Amino acid sequence: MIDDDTEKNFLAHSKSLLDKSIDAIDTDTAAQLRTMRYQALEHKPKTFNWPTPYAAFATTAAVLMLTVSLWLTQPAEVNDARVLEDIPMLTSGEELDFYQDLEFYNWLDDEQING
Amino acid sequence: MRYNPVTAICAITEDSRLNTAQTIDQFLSAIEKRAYRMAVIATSNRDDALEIVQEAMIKLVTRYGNKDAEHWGPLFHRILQSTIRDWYRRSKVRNGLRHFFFGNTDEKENDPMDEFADPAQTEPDQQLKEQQAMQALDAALHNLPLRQQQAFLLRQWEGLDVKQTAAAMDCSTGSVKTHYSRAIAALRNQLEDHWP
Repeated sequence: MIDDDTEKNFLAHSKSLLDKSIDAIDTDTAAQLRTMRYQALEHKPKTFNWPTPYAAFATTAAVLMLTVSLWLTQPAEVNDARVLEDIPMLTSGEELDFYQDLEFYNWLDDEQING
Repeated sequence: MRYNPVTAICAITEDSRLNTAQTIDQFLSAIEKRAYRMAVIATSNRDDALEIVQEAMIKLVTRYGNKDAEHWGPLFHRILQSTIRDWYRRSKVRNGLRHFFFGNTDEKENDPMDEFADPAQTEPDQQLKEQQAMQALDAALHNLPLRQQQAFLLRQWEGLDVKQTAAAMDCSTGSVKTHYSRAIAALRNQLEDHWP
């Protein structure tokens, strides 16, 4: 029991001395420690701050509106049958000028028949 | 105001209004002098001690700066003790080589107590006694094997429990108990007769 008390006193005295030794650190060393702390803080990794729930909701709503508006204003469907009609014309070796003047040739043909 | 690691960390964690940079600054500010003293006791060299503390601070900020503040205390102690152990190993090798090539130069090492300013509040007699007691404690702690020194400082001064000390020292709880009791026995043996 006596030994327990002696040990307790001894430990308390040690702790008290160690605590006091903190106050006894000179100002130069304290300043150096402060500078080192600031330097260490510069190594802090950058973090991405997630937006608040309101910002997340606003972003989602904006994306949704954009999607809907694009969907509603999309060009009318292209007639697949008409595209298919043009394919032989485009793939043939004929001069395209001939097809561009086709209306004129049709008129000329009609004139000759009537005339 | 005395630093209490537990209350300091709780206060930091509770103040959620602060951003992380401010919080970690507060944490390091609260712990830096104690860390420095531990490093001085281990190394008996001011510059080496400062280097160790700086390394520990940078490692904590870089690796765990984005973790919750409640983890910083145990992590910092773990990093600090590991850095001290690394220094100890390096200096052992360096001293061995120096001794091998140049013989025993019997170089006088810096006394860490030389750098301490005089506390102005105490009476000269008491101040002198305290300074002597502090010097004796520093010397006795420095002479302990490193693991005993770490166990004593973490358990007795930092107030860590056996499990936390084992985590900081990277050893088992059984080893902590052994080192701690041996440290107390050795310190009492060296100091008790000379202390008031």
